[in-house]
Amino acid sequence: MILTRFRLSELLNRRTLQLLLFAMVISPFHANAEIAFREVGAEAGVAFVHQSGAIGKRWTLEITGAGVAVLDYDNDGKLDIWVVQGGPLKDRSGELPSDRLYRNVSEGSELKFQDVTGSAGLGAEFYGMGVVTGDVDNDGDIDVITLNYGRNQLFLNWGSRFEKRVDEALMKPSEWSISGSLADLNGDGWLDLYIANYMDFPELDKYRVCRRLSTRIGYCAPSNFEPTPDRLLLNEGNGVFSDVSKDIGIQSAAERGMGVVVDDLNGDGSPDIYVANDMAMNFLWLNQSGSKFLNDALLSGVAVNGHGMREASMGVAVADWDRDFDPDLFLTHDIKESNTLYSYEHAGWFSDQSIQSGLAPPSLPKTGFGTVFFDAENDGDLDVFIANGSVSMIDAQLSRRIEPPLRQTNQLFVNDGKGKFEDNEATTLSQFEEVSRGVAMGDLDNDGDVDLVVSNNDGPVRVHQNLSTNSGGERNHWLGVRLLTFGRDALGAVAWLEGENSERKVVRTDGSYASAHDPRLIFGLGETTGMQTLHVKWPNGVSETFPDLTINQYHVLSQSSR
Amino acid sequence: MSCFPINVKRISVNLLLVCSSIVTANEIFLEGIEEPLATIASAAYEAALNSDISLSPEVAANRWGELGMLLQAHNLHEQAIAAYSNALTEISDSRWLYLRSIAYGELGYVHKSIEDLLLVTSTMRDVAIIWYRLGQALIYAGRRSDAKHALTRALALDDDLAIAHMALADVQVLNSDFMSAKASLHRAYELQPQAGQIAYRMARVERELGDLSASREWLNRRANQFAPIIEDPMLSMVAQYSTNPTFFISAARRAWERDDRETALEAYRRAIALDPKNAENLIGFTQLLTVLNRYDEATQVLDALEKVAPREGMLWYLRAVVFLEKDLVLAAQNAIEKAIAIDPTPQVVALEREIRELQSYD
Repeated sequence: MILTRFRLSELLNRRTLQLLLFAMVISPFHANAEIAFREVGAEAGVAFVHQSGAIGKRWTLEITGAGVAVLDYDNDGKLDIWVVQGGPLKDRSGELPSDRLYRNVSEGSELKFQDVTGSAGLGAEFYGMGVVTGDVDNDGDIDVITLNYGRNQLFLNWGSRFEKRVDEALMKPSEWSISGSLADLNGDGWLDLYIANYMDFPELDKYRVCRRLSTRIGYCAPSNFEPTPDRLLLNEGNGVFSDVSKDIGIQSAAERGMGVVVDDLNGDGSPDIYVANDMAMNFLWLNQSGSKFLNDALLSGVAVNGHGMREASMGVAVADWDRDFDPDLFLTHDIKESNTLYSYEHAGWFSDQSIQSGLAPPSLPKTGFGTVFFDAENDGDLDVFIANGSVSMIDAQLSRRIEPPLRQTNQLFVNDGKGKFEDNEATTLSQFEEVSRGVAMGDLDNDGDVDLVVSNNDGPVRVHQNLSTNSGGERNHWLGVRLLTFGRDALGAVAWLEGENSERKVVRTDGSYASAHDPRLIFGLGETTGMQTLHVKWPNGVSETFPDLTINQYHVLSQSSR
Repeated sequence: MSCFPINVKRISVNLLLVCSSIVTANEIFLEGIEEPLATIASAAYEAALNSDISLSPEVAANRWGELGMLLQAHNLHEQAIAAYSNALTEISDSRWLYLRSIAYGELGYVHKSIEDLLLVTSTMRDVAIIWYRLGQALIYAGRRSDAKHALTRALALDDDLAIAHMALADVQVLNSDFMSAKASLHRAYELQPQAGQIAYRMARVERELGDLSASREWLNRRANQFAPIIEDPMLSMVAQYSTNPTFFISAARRAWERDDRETALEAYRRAIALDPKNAENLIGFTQLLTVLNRYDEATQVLDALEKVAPREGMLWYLRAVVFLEKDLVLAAQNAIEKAIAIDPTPQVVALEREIRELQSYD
């Protein structure tokens, strides 16, 4: 028997074997699941419309924002929605529209939100781009960092109200930041902050319009502007940050950062940082015991695509899509560049699986921004959603005077369980032709499946409630967990269910584009019933097992010892 | 997309039989473009729209096709597709199909591109570059076996087509046949070692084969991210339609970066012919010429620059460089003094010092 298996592995290469095993194990769940979403944004009280500040000048700045977050800010067990606002670009002296916070007041399955922006202490100051969430002062409630064109801001959460804290390290540089990630990078129990900065944008009065080859005025490509280095802020305790960007090595290179995720990307047990850079090589900052970071993207195969070409990377998602217990990366790109799926092969090496997975061709006519891996129908494997919206003007829309003429439909790719994704255009997720930028995921109605919130540039926010079922019209089974350490969400903790080919899930709020997710984990179980055993590797490396977890409900699990 | 009615008299009997409504031509949206392209494109559009029955379908198709090329040369791919489609309603012509397939590819419509390329290869069976393009598109569509067939055909027609060897290596990688991929990439590298994409792919293949040090070595050889150069007569023809010097300047820069000097020079000449008063382009061209020791042509370009921008510091700096190379030290000194008076950049000051040293006994 052993001999037979050995020969089989000799005959088939590692990748083929992996996919074959993957198909054998996963495929039973896949028969004709009914993936369905309903867009309920305005009806549920999320009547937000992004203002880009566009006045026909075609400033590149106006087409890059903004993001969205789902977070339980008041710890009532229901996810709320924070939407990032832009506002006027030219004259910001009057009353400004601010980010908005929508409190989840749903009862039952009908989603209802209440605008609590004023009472929760939000206020407008800068032109918003992105949002980062995490408990930076370890007091048990989730704090918010807004990333802006201008200064970034920290909103400390005091239970039901936010207080803007003046943090010198965070606010001092006035830059154009888009995405960020909170993670305990040096293992001291406090969440540190990585900020992906975009580029040095000129004052609007000095902005020189760009003409395309057709001589039409268009948005200036990023290559017209100097990149600005990213920042790494260490949390010195209680959410007080110090800027260590230079000393720690991450300012040894500067590119135009748009998306960022933190995960252990070389298997050494430490959190590393991956940055999606626009029209440049991406960064893979490998963590050297928390004291230094070295960029190893090129040698690891994730700086450029498999053809050796740098791309216009926008959004990024990380997850174990092929259930081989390691983190794979997915990046969204500009039109004519395919989105890229980097599959983790072994420590320090990823391979470009974009074409094999079927994700490449349908992405070629689109410009992708926010993206998430999520299990749409809880069948046990990960699907992909991409928020699209062009950056170069589409003539067919220009000729019809559509503004902004950048509209595209979003895409849902359903994992067929055999290593391939198929474009599913049947749900509301793909029906709106808008200029989508951010997407955040979380279970808004606490029914055990992932709902999506999509932010649109110069357009409304969309709340897509997940109504998917299996082939029998029943909802698939699931297990939800909230993992806590230091009394806060254990960002960076790795969790998996007992059994073969279990997906490696990581507690995170980062990824996508300018957006932040719910840190709870949902394991799709398909038709599997019975108690489940969950294994957790906490961020400090300690492992723990939680047996006998009842399915179809959430469990709050705290680290018992450090 | 809204449509313009076209002269129904022109439509062939066959087309009338299959069309249930008024036959229309795809509208070409030209608003917002600048001169001289606006006038040229509008005239070409009018001419194509007004083709009447006295013209043969070939002539009418050519009018649409030429408009398509003009638009494609200016990256107006959506409009170019519309124009080629109009041409193809007149008469089936592989040229327009081929160029439309490329325009589709530019917009990411890989399946539509394949449809056109399959039709093209059914009539133009002996053109390697077309089989390569088909193979490349099929790779993206995930049709590995068809891609391999197309690329093998391309290489049977032209074994020196480096880009087809590289694409074949991609298919072999997709099939996890890394040894064959390595051989294909070696052949591509022999043909075009300057193409950074070959070296990167080689690094990937070595990594898959487990040779980390070879992988690193290939990464070090990757000087750029360019694909191997393709000589495509049809696309060269399209390029001739460009009225935008920027197109040729960027083509020149790309060619220069991949060390294709003659193409770079030719592209600069085209750019300057289109915009002879652009001082920036004249300076760039002169710099290229001086690097290549072509001082006579450089002098001619500097003469042109002097007429356009006599107070341009770089004009006098470059004059000094050329004089110096021709051992005309006094003339060089005069020129550099003018440059210093206009704009004493560190580069200018350094050259002035060099010239002074040449004149001393030290």
